Amino acid sequence: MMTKAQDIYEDIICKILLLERNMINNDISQKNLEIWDSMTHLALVSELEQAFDFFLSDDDIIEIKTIGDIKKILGKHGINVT
Amino acid sequence: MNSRIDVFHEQNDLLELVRKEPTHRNYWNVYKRIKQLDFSTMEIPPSQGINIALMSSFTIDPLAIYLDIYCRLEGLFPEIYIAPFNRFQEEIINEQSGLYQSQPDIVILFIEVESLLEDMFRVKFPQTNIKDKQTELDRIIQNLIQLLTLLNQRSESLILFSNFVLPTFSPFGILDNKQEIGFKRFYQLLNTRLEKSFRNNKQVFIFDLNEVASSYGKDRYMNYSMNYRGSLLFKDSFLPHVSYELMGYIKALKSKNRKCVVLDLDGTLWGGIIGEDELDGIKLNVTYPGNEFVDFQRSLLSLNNRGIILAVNSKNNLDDALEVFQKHPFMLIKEKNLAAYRINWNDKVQNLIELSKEINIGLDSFVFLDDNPIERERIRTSLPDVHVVELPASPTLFRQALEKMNDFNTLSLTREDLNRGKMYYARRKRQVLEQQVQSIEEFIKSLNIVAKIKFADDLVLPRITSLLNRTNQFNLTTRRYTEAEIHQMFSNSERYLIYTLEVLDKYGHEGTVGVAIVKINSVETYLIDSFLMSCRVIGRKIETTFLYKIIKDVQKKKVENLEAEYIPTKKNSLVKDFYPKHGFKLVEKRNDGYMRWVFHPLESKIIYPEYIQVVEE
Repeated sequence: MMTKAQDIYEDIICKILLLERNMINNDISQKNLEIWDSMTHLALVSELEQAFDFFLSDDDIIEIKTIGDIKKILGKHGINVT
Repeated sequence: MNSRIDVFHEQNDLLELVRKEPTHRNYWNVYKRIKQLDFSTMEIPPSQGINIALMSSFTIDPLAIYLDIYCRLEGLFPEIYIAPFNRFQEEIINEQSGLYQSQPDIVILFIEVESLLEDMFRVKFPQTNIKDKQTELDRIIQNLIQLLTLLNQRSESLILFSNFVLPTFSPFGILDNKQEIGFKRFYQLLNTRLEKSFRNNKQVFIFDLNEVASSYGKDRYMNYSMNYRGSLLFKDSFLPHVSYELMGYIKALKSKNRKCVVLDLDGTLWGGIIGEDELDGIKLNVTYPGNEFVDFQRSLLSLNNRGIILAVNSKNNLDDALEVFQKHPFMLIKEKNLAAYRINWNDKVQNLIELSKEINIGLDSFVFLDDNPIERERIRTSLPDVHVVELPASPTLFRQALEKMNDFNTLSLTREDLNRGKMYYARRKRQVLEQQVQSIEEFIKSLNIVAKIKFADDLVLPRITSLLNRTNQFNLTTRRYTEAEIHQMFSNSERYLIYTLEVLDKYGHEGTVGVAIVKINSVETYLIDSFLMSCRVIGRKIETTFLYKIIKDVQKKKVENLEAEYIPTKKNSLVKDFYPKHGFKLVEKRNDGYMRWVFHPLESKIIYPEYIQVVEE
């Protein structure tokens, strides 16, 4: 069964990046997804911070380039998603 | 396949997501996906289009998400222009800027005072003397007045300038208000002086952001981390509150405002059931229980006194209910406050339709207040144009629910607004008389009608604009003009004659109820560009008197042709035959129902009702 964290994570990714759940993959990045501009980037950060109640460091924010990176950062904060 | 209908349905399906679950990421998602829809095949009527320009000293883009969707939920199709970040001065000064190119109907400015101050202002403030503080105040206000005045001159749009949020911090701490100009007072003075500078300006409005932030909570409206990261000043959760308040202006601008509150009685205006609990048993009192209903009535009456019509739609025996209005010591709303009522055992849908006919306003002007969720559902599903308020379960929250509504706004307040509550009562009395008197002519004669017809003066221009934009039924061409356009016509008297009609009768003064705009096309040919009357005075032959006066004037000027048009809309079939009835001859008829008529004042005559006294000024 899908964990609650997994569900929230997928919901944020899908809603902010306009993807279907089955389209999520690690390689989607700022470079290959047109809608992922700087405003979208901040929206992603803000949604993740609010949903999982943590603060991302400046380095974290800059390091996030792909969906894979988001998973890594979440893992760093003890939130494991696949 | 009809692509117009398709894109509309697609939008509606998307909006369903925020209707059901209004979270920020849903708004984001729906906004972005609607942006991807192709509206180019859809012809958006001017009444549903709106161009909005947002300008700010910080990143305002996320506000557009809510404004856009709120507009769409109201049936509007917005185009939002977002000026480049912190470039509002250049945008206003440069006539070629994106701002002017976007041809906004409304310009909204959010400027942080910090962007107008030097960086060290907060640092130096405790050491700054009173004279320097005043100089700084003057400088900022002058700068803003100049900027807004320039924008006002260059654009016909409505301008909303957001005021400054009073800080909760002061370097003086608890001693702030011991200073002649403390830190908070400095902001307050800016706001007061801004308001004062534009109090008499009909296009520039000061948007009370300070109030919106207070109401939401000053400790949480700002997003500090996102503000440092990307100049995103407002928290996502604050944006709906700002947008909701902005919609008050947008609804007023687009005539989406509501004019009449239709009230249920048992459980809504008083507690209990009059038919069972009787006069001394219902809850209506100066102390609890019952004081919550008295207080709710006070708020309703305050709206009534500014021009919002009240009506009743209730399932009761008429006599039982009227007894409360007439005899209950704490019943504040009286019969004279009601424009009309339906107190019977009929279906409330039918009653509402009848009320709409009797009061002569569309269902889209109604707000329906009823404590019974089943009645609300019945109205909501049968009459979607009526705004059904989801009243809280407890009557102690009714007042708050009413006061939170943003549907009653108009962009100016006219004398007619202030008297409207009384005027409808006078009208109801007239209708009673109408039923007693037999012939309609006799009845009209008995009203001792005086029609005052004169050329517009500048005091009446707001009322003219309001009539032009709100009159649907007795309106020959339904041309909507902004106040700025009316101003232009008014100052171009060689090209336009603007007539106004005021009506008095033995029950009172109806105020300015008619407007006609006559366009001078040439020495021989004049055209009636607009001719309209408020539905309150229809059916008393006043329209003939009004037209007669125009014909008489053009006769005097030896004008050969007086042309007139009928442009059909969904609501104005009432006046389809207005011109032929008065001897105008058809010269053109198009497939869409448009008709053009001509009258030759030098050859033809018009019969007018002599029992209406005409006063010309």
